[in-house]
Amino acid sequence: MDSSYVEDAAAVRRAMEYYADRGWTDGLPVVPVTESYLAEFLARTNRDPGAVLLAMPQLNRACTVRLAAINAALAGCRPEYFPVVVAAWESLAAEGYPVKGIWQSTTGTAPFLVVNGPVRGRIGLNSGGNVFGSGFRANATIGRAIRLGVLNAFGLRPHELDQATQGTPAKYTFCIGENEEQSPWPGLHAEFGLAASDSAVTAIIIRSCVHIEARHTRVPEQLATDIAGTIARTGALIHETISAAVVLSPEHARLFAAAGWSKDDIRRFMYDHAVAGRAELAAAGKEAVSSRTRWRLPADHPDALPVAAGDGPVRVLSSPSAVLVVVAGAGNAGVSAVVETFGPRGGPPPVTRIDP
Amino acid sequence: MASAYGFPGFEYVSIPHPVASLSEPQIHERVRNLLPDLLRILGVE
Repeated sequence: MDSSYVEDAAAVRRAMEYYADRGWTDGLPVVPVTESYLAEFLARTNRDPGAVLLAMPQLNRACTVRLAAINAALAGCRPEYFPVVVAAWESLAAEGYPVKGIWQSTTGTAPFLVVNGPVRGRIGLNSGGNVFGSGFRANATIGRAIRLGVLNAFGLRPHELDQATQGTPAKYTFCIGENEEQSPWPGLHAEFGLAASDSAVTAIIIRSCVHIEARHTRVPEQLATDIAGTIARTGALIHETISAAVVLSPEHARLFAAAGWSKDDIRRFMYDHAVAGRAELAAAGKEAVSSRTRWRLPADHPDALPVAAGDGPVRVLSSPSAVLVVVAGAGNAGVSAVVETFGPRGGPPPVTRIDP
Repeated sequence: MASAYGFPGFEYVSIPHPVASLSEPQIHERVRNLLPDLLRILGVE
């Protein structure tokens, strides 16, 4: 790099070390934040800097607009990304599980942010190829802004208040745009009441992202069965039922749409076909549920409710609304993903409008 | 948690993992093992 870009590179490195020494990072270097730089972020919102975006009463701590802005700047966001970050915090508050303490749990979850609407184009948020991967500043830093807020505003640090057994790589960042331009259906935000011309963030707590390889078929039922089988894997079943976000590549979305399927049709198919056989559940020791927690456990466990004998396979979804359908990625192959969500198992998602 | 509430010296008893997969007798054994510490913190001689 031409040294004329930085008057004192050593000073920048000292600032980065200062943040790292205080534990104010996710392990990667952060951008030094001054009051004047912070003001550029706060100027992008009409919200009061002291307004609370998300509170955790059990910790006696809250993330305010000012704290969200500091952490967005630390994360490497550009100031114009900040309205997306604000809406993401609001969506997480509406989703409900972070407030209940899921980020401190051994399961090890992280937020998954889906962005819809014109803001994607304005800030260069990727919704196409390599959508879960690296290379796009808006995706990388908006997700990271939330992560740094979790660490710095709430003090949920690993080995301390974050007791995740393994965690997930999504804890660094997990933010995508929906590929509305290559989707045959309305975007997630338009599906749940906003105008297509609005911009929105939907925050969902997740644990895993599992890929679907299905380049072999043009039959929608075969593709849907492949996806349903992935949703129903026993390893993900801690509770009686599960939830999922099906992230379809444009090719798979077009395959369904060409056969006349809507997003609702896909949800209904998943509800009916994401099932686990009773013998399969018993082989994994998950054939019964606890009378107290509704967690899955073996039938001979003292807490187990009696298992109904002789019935057919067990649904792993409690309703079609436990499945979200999003289109993202490149239109170059039959590759999709099931994002295993870990928040509410049904009901409308917390689609949150981004302030214009 | 104790520090977050302003009581950094708050004493507590912890039960070793795993717990969810234990049988009832194994849970009773865990409780028996932690009782002396529990009674000490509560000030019971």
